[in-house]
Amino acid sequence: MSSNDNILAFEYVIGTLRDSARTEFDKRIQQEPDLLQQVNYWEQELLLMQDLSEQRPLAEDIWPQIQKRITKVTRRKSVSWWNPIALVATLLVTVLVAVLFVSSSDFNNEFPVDYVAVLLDEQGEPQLTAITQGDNRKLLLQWEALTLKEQQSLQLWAESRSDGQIRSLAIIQQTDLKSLSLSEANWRLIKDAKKLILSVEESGGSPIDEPSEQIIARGVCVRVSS
Amino acid sequence: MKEFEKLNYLIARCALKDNQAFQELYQLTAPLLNNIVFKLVKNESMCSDVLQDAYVQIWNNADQFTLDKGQAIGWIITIARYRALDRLSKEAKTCELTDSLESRLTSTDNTPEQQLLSQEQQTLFHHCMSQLNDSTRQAIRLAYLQGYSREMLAKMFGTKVNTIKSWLKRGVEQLMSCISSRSAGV
Repeated sequence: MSSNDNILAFEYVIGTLRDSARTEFDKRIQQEPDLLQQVNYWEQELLLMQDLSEQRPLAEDIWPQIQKRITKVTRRKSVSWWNPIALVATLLVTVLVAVLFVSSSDFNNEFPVDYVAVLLDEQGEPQLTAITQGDNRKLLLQWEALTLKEQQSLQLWAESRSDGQIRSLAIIQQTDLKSLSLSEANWRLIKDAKKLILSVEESGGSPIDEPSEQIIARGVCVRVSS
Repeated sequence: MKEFEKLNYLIARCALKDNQAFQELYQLTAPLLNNIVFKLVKNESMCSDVLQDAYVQIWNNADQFTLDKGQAIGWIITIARYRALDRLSKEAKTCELTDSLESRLTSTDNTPEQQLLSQEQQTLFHHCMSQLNDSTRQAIRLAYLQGYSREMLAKMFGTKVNTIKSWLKRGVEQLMSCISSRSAGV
């Protein structure tokens, strides 16, 4: 890193690099990892000048405007489960969620996350996040706003990585269930699972031991820790 | 700050396009960003536009945030600052220089609650800033916190743009050297 580049990185971050010089530098950052690293360095350091306790009341119309803009984009970008790009993106995001969930208060921070699956509906919205931590044979669940009609059950399934078979993991009667205790057999199913699937079944679970056509969410199962 | 501890989780949820998490993230961070951005652009309507751009970018790029990019609040502030700087460049905004230098620095010189990184890092950074001469330190703060361009700084300090460039150059070198030597325990 030349001294001149270091100064440019600094001026880029404090904002005195303007107009065409800034645009040029922006292009260089995309292509030169060392330069990007130096920009990140100054971003981290200079952020310490910021007083995080100072706030300013917001105009009420900002949030609706943001919503309007992201809704348009989201609709355009809506993807199905089977879109391969969406699946790759989901996989990456699942790993991200796993890493970041460790800091969430909803889960026990004492144990590392081992397996995680974020089950998305057809619109790509998350419906259920399932996580295992350590060897406690528990599947921790975080639900979104799912409602269940009377005479219905939800059933959680694991699609095997080894033989492609879909096997039942649990029948769920209420969507505020926080955790599931897993038998040794179900624990093995989780460890071998390629995907988790959530289906709506008649009360008591699928009579044919296969998911119904009402699959409401599914997600790749990712092993996070070794 | 304690209230920002949940941000990692909220960003992860935004990556999954969870709008409820996005709203929570907005409520948690927008008053702070509004303060930071307004100081830079000094115009209500421009500030509102910049905030919209920043949050749309946060929503769209949430899946690109990783912990190696630093703390989540830092990532969010950086996005908002850069959108504000883009806007300043676009508008070729010139700041009104009617206030005294002292009054412009009053609100930014007292920084009792900068809790982004560890106390140790903050102490080190502020120690190194305090080693700079007054003009250089003030120029850096005015640029970073209030969006001053080199030309505006030159006008403010009654000097030439090239002099400002020299101050900044010296400032970078001294800061870098101070932070590195202190970090290495020299």
